[in-house]
Amino acid sequence: MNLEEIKEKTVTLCAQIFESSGVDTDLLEYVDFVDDLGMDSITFITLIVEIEAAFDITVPDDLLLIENFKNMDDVIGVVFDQLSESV
Amino acid sequence: MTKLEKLLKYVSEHNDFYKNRIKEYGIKDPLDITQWPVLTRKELQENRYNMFSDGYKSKYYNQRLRRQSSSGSSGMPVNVYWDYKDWYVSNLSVWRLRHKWYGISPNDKCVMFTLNVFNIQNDGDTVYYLTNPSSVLFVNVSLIYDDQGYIKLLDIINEYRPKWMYIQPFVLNKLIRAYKCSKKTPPSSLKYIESVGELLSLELKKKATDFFEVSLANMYGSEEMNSIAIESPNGKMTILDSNVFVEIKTKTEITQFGNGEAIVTNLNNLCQPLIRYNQGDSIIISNDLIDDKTRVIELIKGRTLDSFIINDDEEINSIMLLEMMAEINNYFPQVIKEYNFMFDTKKVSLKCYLTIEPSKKEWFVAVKSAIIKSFQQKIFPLNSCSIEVMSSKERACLCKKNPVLTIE
Repeated sequence: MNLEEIKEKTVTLCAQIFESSGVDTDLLEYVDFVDDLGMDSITFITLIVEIEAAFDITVPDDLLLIENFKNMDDVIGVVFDQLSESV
Repeated sequence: MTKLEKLLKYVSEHNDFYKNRIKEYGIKDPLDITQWPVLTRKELQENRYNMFSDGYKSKYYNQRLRRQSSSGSSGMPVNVYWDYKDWYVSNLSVWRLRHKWYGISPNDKCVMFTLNVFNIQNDGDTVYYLTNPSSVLFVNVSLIYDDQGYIKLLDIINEYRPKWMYIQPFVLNKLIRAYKCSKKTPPSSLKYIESVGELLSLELKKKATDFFEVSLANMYGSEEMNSIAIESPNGKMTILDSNVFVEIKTKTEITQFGNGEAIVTNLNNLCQPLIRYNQGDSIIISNDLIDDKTRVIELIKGRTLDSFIINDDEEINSIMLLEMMAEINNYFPQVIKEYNFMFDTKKVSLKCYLTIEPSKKEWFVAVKSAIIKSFQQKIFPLNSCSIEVMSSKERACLCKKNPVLTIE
């Protein structure tokens, strides 16, 4: 899976997760999930569970901090790294 | 090095409470769990502010830790503090399986039944609380007194349209009865029910599955540990070995299989580590492994077997008493240190022995009166069973005078 495919799939997932915030999908890659969308602990765990299931990866324990998943680039970066490691 | 060994290495180097235990108990190899003593609930209560690992006390003072409190259903509530990062890791172990097995995500709408008091929205007789954002509807069942209260609750649940429910077996039973009595139907949004607190009996599980027509699983956990085991779709209570290490304390030894008290080590909480904590539950761990590695809890006996029948069909079980005592503990926080119930079959009388915190002895009369009132109102309104409440001191005196009274 290349970076573009990862990005597309991640945007779709995040759009579903943050649907209730009313954010436009086109704007997702420019917002801060915590400051702009109010990501709380439940949403954070949802994000992790959903990306793990979608990409068949396991996010390592030491990365599990909200600070590491504050925006779309962060999420894509983690997914890309984990997929690369599994290859 | 396994996750358990890493934790033991960590506490032996970064936690004064456990460093002292190494000296006190003469532990030669801290990485060997079998050399560690069992941590009792009393020790946890007494040392809760002495058990922080290096660097976490300042986080505690700066309110940067998450506090988990037990409901107080088995005595004085216990507080355990978590660093948020560890709490996420701990929770993920159960969420990964909930998602994989039952298709449930953390932000799916959930109805969570609780015995704890919270700031309430009061809709007539039904008390509930909606989190913001609205993914969890909390319902305080200790404030629902009768079937009418449950029937009224159905409208709130149906309007909320939850995807799943997190529910105690006795509440599930009452909910089914309310749906049947009122001829209302459960919301079509409901896809999963998770039973907590006690294991569902096979009979209730079948009744609930037939009625709701959704997946139903038992979950075993505690506020101190988070999730310990969850039932798989094929009915195995799977131990969450990425979150806990579970052992069994028998009369003679501590082993990994068999029948006895659950001794649990949390593998993720570095802030206030719990090494070999006596969970206070009686369980059986099966010799059969899943995929040759994952252990399975065969039975959680807990307090579920502590029940007795009066007049052929009236039952008092531990869940009812737990519910009652949880409510009492909420009204009189940190007053009751310990309690025991004994049933006298000859007198058809329940005896409740209370140990009150020494500094709060003057509360005894009020607590006694609240227990009697609650018992008469909620458990045996027809007075077919009486209740006698006495302090442990009074009990000790009576036993001394007349040993016949030591009915246990």
